[in-house]
Amino acid sequence: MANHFSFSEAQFNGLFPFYILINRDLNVVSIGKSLGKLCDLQKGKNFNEFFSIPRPLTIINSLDDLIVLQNQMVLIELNSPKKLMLRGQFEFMEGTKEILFLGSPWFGSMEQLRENNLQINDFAKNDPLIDLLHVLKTVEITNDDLKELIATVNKQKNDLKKANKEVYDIALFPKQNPDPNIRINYEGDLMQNNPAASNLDFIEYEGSTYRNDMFFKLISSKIDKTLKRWNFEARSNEIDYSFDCVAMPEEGYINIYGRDITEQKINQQELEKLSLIVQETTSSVVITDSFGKIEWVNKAFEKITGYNLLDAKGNSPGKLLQGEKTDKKRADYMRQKVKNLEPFTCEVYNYKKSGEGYWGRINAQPIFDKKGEVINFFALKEDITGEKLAKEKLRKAASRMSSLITNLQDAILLENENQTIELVNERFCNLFKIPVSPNQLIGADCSKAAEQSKHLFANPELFVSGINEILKNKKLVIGNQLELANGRILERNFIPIWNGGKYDGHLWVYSDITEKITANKKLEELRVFYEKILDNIPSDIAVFDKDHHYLYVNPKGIRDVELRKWIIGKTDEDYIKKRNKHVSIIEERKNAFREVLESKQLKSWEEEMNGVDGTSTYIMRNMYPVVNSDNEVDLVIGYGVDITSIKLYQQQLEESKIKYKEIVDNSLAMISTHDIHGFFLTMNPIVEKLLGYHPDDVIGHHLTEFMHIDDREKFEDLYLNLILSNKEFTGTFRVINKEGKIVYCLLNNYLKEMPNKEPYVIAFAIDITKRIEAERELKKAKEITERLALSKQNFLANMSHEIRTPMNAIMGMSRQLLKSNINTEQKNYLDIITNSSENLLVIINDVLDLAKLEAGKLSIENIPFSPKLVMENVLKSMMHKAEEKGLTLSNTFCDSDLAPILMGDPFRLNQILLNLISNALKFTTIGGVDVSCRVLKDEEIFQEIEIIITDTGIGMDGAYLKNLFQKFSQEYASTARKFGGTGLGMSITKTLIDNMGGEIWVKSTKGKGTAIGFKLTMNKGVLEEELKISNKDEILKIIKGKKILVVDDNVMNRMVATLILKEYEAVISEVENGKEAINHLINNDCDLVLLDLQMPILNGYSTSKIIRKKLKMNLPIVALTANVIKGEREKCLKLGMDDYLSKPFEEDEFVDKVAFWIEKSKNINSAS
Amino acid sequence: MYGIVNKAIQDLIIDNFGEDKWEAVKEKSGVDIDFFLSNEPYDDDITYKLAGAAAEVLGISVGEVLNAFGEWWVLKTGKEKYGGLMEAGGNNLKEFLVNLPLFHNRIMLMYPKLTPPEFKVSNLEENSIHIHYHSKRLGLQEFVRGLLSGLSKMYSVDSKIELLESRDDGKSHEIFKVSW
Repeated sequence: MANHFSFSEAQFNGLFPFYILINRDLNVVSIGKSLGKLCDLQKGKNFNEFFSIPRPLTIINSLDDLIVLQNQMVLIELNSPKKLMLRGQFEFMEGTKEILFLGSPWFGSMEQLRENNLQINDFAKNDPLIDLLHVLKTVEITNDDLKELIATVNKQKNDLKKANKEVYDIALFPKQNPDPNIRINYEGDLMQNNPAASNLDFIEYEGSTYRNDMFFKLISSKIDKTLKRWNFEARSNEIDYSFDCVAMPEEGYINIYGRDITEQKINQQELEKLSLIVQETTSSVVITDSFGKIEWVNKAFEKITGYNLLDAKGNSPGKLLQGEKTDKKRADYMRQKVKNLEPFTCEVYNYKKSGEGYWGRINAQPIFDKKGEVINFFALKEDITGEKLAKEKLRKAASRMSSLITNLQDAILLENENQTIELVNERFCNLFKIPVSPNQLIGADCSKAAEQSKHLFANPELFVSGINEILKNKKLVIGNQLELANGRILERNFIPIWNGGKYDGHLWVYSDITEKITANKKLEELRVFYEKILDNIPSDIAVFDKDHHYLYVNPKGIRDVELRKWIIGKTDEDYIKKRNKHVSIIEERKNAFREVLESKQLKSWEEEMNGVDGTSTYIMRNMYPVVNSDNEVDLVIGYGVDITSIKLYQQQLEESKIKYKEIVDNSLAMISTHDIHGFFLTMNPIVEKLLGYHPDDVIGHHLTEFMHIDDREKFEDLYLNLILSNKEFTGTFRVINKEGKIVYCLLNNYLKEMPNKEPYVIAFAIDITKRIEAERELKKAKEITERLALSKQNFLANMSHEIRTPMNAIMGMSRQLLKSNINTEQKNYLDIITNSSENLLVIINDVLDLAKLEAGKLSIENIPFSPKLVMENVLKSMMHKAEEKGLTLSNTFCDSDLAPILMGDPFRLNQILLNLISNALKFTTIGGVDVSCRVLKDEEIFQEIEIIITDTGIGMDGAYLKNLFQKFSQEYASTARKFGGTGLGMSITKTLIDNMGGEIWVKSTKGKGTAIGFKLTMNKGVLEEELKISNKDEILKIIKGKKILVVDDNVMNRMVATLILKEYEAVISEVENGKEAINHLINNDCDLVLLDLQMPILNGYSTSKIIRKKLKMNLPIVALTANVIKGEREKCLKLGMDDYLSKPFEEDEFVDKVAFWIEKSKNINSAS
Repeated sequence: MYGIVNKAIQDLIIDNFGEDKWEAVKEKSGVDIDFFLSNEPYDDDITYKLAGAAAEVLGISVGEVLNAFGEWWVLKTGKEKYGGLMEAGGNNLKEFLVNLPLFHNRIMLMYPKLTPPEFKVSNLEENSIHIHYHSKRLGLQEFVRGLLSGLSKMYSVDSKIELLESRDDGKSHEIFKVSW
């Protein structure tokens, strides 16, 4: 066999997954894969730290200690709380000087395996530990099985023992039993019996005697097989037996157990007899034990007291029956007697179960046993309540009578048939002034009493004779009145007493009725007084007794005196019959009367009485009960009040209420009311329709619940307090409808105040949401329009600038070109360019003017000017056009009164004239155009002038004349094509004249010509300075050699200005923006600046400002701009510029302005 | 079969249907043994009779009885009596099933009188495995299915058990595919 085994680590792990390899220093070199699951042992750790060796117990100090352990089984223990052990062996390896532990954990049970997180796979396949554990488990299970089996066997053994004993006992018993025990089968054959049963030869049963075998046959024949147990009685050998039968159907027999009941039967019979007697007696019988606790009671007791035997048993009679009115002394007496075991008789007040009291007489007796000891108490008890009550009644009656007579206000005298006093009272003694007590008078003779007392009466003899008469007649006399000597009145009654035809005496009753008579008199007076009042009350009054008989009716009720008397004691039925009235009223009144009697309360109802004339009278009937102290109705007072007027008023009120309700309900306005705290009281149906709220959602709720949340805080200040102080309120609320949307409501609310009533607010609201929304839309539209207008204006400004800038170059350059050497054809072309440019400029100006006019931004100057000069200039500038068309342009008349200077706008006047003249020239082909001017009014301050332009042109239709001054108006589309133009000219002209406070008129004949005139009123003025330099030579003289700075970002425009000015030999410098201009001015001399306004880097406005403010230069600055919108000129002047010229400019105007300002500057400088 | 098997059938019926039903099953099967000793071998016939009678008394098929018994065997008998051993079988269903052949081989050694079935595994996938069941006994394949189902429940896994091959179809043994 080879000596060397070579395993890979994996193989070795498979064989010994719990191995440990230890080096000389006792450090672990390597461990098996499964050992790692048991402890945190790692390579290099000391073996001693982790393990100890309990068997054989070894202290490990060096490797040698382990080496000696070779060749034996070793248990090593993990130094962890688990104290886990590994079972194996150590092997020393010479080659490496290391020692190897081979083994596996030693577990006591499979559960331990899992507790240490190990599985089958963690063990080597050859390791039988798990199987061993399983076998152990199996043995354990087997042991459990055996234990269980033994327990089962033991239980069965004990059960058997128990059963055996029972069987034995059962078998033993019948033999010793003196009572007969018999077992028969279902046929009645005797199967078995005990000795006692053998003596029963003959048996008496139900009146007959049977031999015992026959008897059991009989018994078996009567068996009800459904019964398991039953019982019968029979007699044999003078002994009574009770036989209990137990059926054993499975076994097929019946066991019969006999018992001697002879003595029991005798006792029972005796007892039954006694019981019957005691039970049936009418007196109640109670039997208690020797301590007085009830053991038995009879039927009479139950009947009298209401307690049955169960209730009573165990209680003492005293506790059960005695109560509040029971005399304590008697109760104590009885208790003492019972305690002393003595018989007693006692009457006592007891209580029934129902709580009702009764009197009982008790006869109690102790019962002794044979030894003379008390075993029971027997008590007989009679109900003597009736007897007691009768006695008490009698006693009370006598006492009452005596007390009554004693205390009677009437004087009483009772005599017997012999006129001897039987009874008299104190009052009688006092009345007749008898000086002894009533008791002393009893038995006294009264035969002479009348004589003795007669002096007391006003008429003594009458008194005596009266008495004698009465005594003689022995008849009842009531209400005899007698007057006493002192004036008082007595009433006397005589009551004879007859007893079965025998006269037993009589009773005298005297009453002093003086006060009664006086009171009656007073009463009668009062009655008359009240009747008088009632008779005169203006409402009908009737008084009824409780049976609805009339006791009284006042004259308002029944006018006829006789009828009124007649009706007393009658009913309504009698009245109806007598008067033939309709029965329906009676029923109503009878019902009302019945109600009053039952309710004892006032009853009111209305009656409608239809008059013969068809009118209705309404009576408010009332019945009022008069209730006495016993709460019974004595009288019923009926009274009626005529409520016709109130009724009619109510009807009107109701109608008007309905009418107003309908108005409110059908109103399209939301109408509601609320209290002064803001809680809704009512609302009309339209509220629900418009806002969606049901009245239940609204009424009782606060206004703020329906308001926009932002408005709620202001509710008190802005609404509630206002309406309370101002009494009314008008305003808008944002209401939230049921869908949660905002509804704008215009409110018109009023505070309604009424005396003694809580004020409230009536609110009228209309839904103005659509209006608000429309306004909002309108506002928005307006804003948009304004924005658009603004952008339009800006657009125009831009357009103006953008068009004019190149136009300036085109026109300027054209003019310059015309001045150069060009041939005819070139000149013609240039003319066309120039004309077209001018036309275009006119159109642009028209459009801009229109825009300005529309925006109301056209400014009219008010400066001094020469009207004549303006007209001349216009004519001059139009002349070449007229000449071009071969027309004449004349000024046939110019009023000599025309003021040399007028205040106004020469530029606009120029524009108007140009417009009208160019128009006239445009529409004239033959003939000419004439301009005339006349002064219509010449006042000191002002002149009214009229200028008329007449042509011999195509004329206009009357129909077209109406539209002449409208925008874009030309007579025919073809006209526009033929003559050109925007159709704006006339509209602008008219607007300009209107703005200057003048008026324009037109006269025209189609085919003949047109005359257009306008009137203007202007103040007279004085010309301050006239911007006029006579001729080109003069201008040349001024401009020549002057240093002029042209500032413009547009090279074309710079070129135009430079070319023109160079003709006049000016020294021109050009810069592109304001910044460069400033630099130039700082470093160079300069006579005039031509300044463009819109430039990059630094614009013209800022540049001007810097020149004036920072550089403090006063050289003239002329603005050149393509912007012609309103205010531009003003803005320029404000920023320090001297003049303003819009591009494109006329060359003459341009050089005039330059020359003027150079000259002016020279003059100013020389002056300073 | 060892008595523990019959005892397990007894427990299954008593626990689920009551003592009376067990008595009825016993009577119906004609098996007159009051007490099964767990570690004693009994005739296979007794087990078959009990399963057949239980099917009749409970009104279900023998297959259903065996299936229920298989589950019961794992979840009650196995856990109660061999809890540790079952748990040592693997950390999850897959591990347990992989270890099943080894497990049975060890059982065979421990119960010399046992004729244990042999299990093999193949087609081991992430979520399924094939279990090959070789047995000399016939008609217990539903018991095996119950065992597999019981194991799934023991590890709280929802599994699907399919019988791929069976001796009923002329194959050499049964192959179950357990997927989870």
